[in-house]
Amino acid sequence: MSKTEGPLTGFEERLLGELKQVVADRAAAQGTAPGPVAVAVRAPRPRRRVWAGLTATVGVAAAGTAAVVALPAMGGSAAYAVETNEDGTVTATIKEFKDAEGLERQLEEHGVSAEVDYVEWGKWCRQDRGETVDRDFLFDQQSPKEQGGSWSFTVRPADFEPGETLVIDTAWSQDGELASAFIGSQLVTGPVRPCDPSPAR
Amino acid sequence: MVSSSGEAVRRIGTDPQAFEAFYRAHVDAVERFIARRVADPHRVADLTAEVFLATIESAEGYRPSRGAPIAWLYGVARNVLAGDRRRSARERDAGLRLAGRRLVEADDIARLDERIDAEAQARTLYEAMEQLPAHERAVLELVALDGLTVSEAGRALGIRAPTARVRLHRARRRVRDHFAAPVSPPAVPAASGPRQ
Repeated sequence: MSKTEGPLTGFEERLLGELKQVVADRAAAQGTAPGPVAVAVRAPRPRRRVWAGLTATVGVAAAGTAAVVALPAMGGSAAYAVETNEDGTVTATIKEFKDAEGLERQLEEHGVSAEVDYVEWGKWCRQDRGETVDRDFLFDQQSPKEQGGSWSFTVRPADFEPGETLVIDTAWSQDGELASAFIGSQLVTGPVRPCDPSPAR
Repeated sequence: MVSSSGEAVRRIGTDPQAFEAFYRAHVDAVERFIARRVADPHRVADLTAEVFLATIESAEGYRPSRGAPIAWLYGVARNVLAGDRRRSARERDAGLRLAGRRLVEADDIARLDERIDAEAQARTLYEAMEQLPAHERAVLELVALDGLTVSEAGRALGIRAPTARVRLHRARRRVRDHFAAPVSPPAVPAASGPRQ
């Protein structure tokens, strides 16, 4: 941090004071118990696959951040839907981050070879998943806020050469907001290495 | 702009000193980022507060390999502004957790207005971008308006650099096609924008 900053304006100075208080409160809360966001997002997490859709939304509500989208309760395959559009593109809509294998199978049925990994809170897949194809391919995302609580992406099966796999992994940002999760997407040619979940910190 | 190390950024959510350093280094960039999109000084103040609150809440998830702090910060700011735009004025006021405008006094208004005036040209371009598809617009905004490199813009948006480049290319072509009197995106304030 070596930038030479100018003096703060009155507003900036007052805002700094308030925000430092927020940070101090969070630090104090974490000294004894996790802060409100951490509780909502982290507490029930025994499984490998993260269910984060619903819980993350709860996290947003608890923290009182942006517009909260209520997700309907659903089970089984309702966690996702895959459909082929009129123009030949394929759209996957994900309502809950669970059953990655089921989603892979569905994508496969729609002509998209995919490897999907949902990683535990606080972890990432290591990035060396295979030989990345360095050319542009259609990958349009729509965020939960645009989608009424679900995340979706659209790809074009014709973009993929034989032996290429769309690799998707979630990487959550700490605010627990679906919209700001980083969804990694890459096209890998040849074998795809399994996700090696490693601590994000 | 020289920015904080990744580790320092991760601590800003729980370490007031780390936060202060981060804030001092970036508050100017955040205000200008917002003034390129919003012309009301009170809302600039509210949104500046909201953006920093969002960084406090999401700092632990920051990963240096996903981009420089400024790219991450602009990604957060874009999300905050996008959320704000979708809300009505009343919802907006109710949703504020730390009303920045409460902290604004008379001489601050003058300073904020100066800043807003300085970004007038950028705001015109920003409004002109309404025509673009959202994903192309996002890249063009961050590059032409905010001075990020294409790869930084990609990281801010969670997309790969080649994808960002293609989208930028398409967006520029579309802007040229849409406007008879060419708005030339690359010439706008990129030179004065933050650079790593």
